[in-house]
Amino acid sequence: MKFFRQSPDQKRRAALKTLGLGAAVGAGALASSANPLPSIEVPSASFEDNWHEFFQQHYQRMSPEEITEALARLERKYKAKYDVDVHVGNAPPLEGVVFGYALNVSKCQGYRECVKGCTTENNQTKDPDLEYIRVLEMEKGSMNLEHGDPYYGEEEPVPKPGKFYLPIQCHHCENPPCVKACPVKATWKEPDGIVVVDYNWCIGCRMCANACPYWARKFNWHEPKLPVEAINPQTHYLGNRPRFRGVMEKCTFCIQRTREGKMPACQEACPTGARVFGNLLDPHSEIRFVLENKNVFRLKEELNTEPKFWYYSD
Amino acid sequence: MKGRLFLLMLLMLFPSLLWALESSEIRNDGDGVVAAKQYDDPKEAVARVPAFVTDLRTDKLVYYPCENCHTKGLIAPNEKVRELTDMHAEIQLQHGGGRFWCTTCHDLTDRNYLVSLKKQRISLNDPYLLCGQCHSARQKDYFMGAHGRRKANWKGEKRLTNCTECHNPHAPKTPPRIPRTKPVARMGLSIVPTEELGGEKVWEKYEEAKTSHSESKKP
Ligand code: HEC
Ligand code: HEC
Ligand code: HEC
Ligand code: HEC
Repeated sequence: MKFFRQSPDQKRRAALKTLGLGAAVGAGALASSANPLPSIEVPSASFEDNWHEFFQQHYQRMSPEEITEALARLERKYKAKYDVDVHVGNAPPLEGVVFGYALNVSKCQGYRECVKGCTTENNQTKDPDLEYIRVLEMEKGSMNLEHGDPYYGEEEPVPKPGKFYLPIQCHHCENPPCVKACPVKATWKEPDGIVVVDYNWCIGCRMCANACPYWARKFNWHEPKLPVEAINPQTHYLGNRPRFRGVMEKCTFCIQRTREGKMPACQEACPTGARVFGNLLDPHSEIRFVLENKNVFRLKEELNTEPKFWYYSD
Repeated sequence: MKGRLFLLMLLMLFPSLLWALESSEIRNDGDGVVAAKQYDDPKEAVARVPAFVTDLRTDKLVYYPCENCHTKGLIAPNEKVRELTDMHAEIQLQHGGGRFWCTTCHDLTDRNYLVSLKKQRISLNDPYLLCGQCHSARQKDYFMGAHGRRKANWKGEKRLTNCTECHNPHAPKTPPRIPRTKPVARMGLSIVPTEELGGEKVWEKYEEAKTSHSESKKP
């Protein structure tokens, strides 16, 4: 709690001083609109960029020109910070596409290859890795998530007898409780069904993480440690662009890949073929075949979150 | 009339009989040897499924072209079930529980091809046609996207991973392997396996305490 009561306020004041704004604008007025922590962490970003980033609008309220500026600003900033040419895109949702995911629990072997694929793609903080996918080792015949063990060891071969494996990540709910919980609307559902976060708008209050019944949201408690060689330079504003301290992040169905027709990194990494991804609106897609022909279920359906992530077994 | 009534009552008492009546249609296709439908030509299986492509397999095979040894008179084809010693000794057939032998799948006279149960030649590049004869349910899932996997994209050209990229046709069961590293517990949290807590769950302890407490209160 100490972190929360003192530190942001002090930081904010420090931030305002840097910007030469201390007298002009009250700290409280800014606190609710933009996250002041990130821009300050980068000493080499230019004063002008810091200034503009500080007053950057919400992603959905920015004009196309403002977005272009914001993207260029971010690219300059990552260049200054990591000395890498990061491309920050903002590909719009595809027409007539709503994404859905299905996972075959009888094929999943618990290798955790999806977790690795995800952390390689999404520029999460490394060592210790921040992971969007949690693979639970479950007793066969039980569906009690509370008894699932995400920390099963890497010494013993999998699948272990009598166990099955249940990977959980953001379910991209049609009725997302996290979006409702956000006091500043920094997270929302895109037209293609992906629940995204505007990292620049997030104030780091972590209400969304509280609201999520699937443990899908992860918080950057520290300045992310992202080694230069681990950076994936192909990024999306709402997706895997490098994040900063004090913001929430989560699985975005690899928005930077899937909006270009590529499959999510977790699916590509899975060697068993347990993962099926596609367009729910296309009656000939694989995901629709699975939903119509297999015994599918969703987690915690009684919460009326309407996840677009199904599990099936055959 | 009486006979029919009797039959009806029998059916009401034992609804499973109805199932038995139908079962000549419902064949056992539980991925065993009995195929739900045997195609005269294995290619019929792909006639009505969404178009797809697969990568070549022949350039991945160590022994290909097989012709080099097999049909140039160097080695006489030998159908006998035996332990292979002179060559291919690494291949131990662990498939089908001893119900079939190499020549069920490999053409005896033209070794560059696989062969269907009805003796049509199947390219070594299309093993999914071969497997589907006996695993028709899995094959259907494979064509429709519920078994196996696509490569690279969800949209556009459908490039599928071939059965033999995941399953060794001679020992198809996926062997267990070591998983990737486990997640690190968040700072301040420790992972104590339940066994180390004496196998006792916190709530079990609580329940225990509650019952013993209420017992001790009894006069
Ligand atoms: C370097 C030479 C060589 C090549 C190349 C080769 N084989 Fe053979 N193969 C042999 C020999 C020698 C035997 C007999 C082994 C024994 O009897 O112990 C054999 C036996 C077999 C048999 C057992 C049935 C029989 O006729 O004896 C099969 C099936 C077979 N090979 C398949 C293949 C296939 C499929 C390929 C191509 C992918 C291939 N071989 C390539 C040398 C070769
Ligand atoms: C269930 C059908 C089946 C049976 C039974 C079978 N094979 Fe094969 N075999 C295949 C298929 C399919 C391939 C192609 C593998 C690939 O695509 O990687 C293959 C490939 C091979 C190869 C080439 C491997 C390489 O990497 O070069 C050899 C050699 C071979 N088989 C020999 C045998 C022998 C010997 C037997 C009997 C002991 C046998 N096969 C039994 C289906 C079968
Ligand atoms: C001639 C029929 C036949 C063909 C062709 C065939 N299989 Fe099989 N397969 C079987 C039978 C029978 C079993 C069950 C074995 C048992 O009961 O132990 C089986 C079992 C399997 C299993 C489950 C193994 C296990 O123990 O879990 C897999 C996976 C498999 N086959 C894959 C394939 C693949 C891949 C191909 C094509 C290269 C193929 N099969 C071709 C008959 C066949
Ligand atoms: C992307 C990898 C992949 C591909 C491609 C693939 N399989 Fe499998 N298959 C698996 C895994 C993983 C399992 C579950 C583990 C096991 O039982 O070995 C499995 C299981 C099976 C089984 C055992 C029964 C079951 O469902 O548990 C059969 C039979 C089988 N596959 C047949 C096929 C056939 C036939 C093809 C091609 C048409 C194919 N597979 C393609 C990964 C694959």
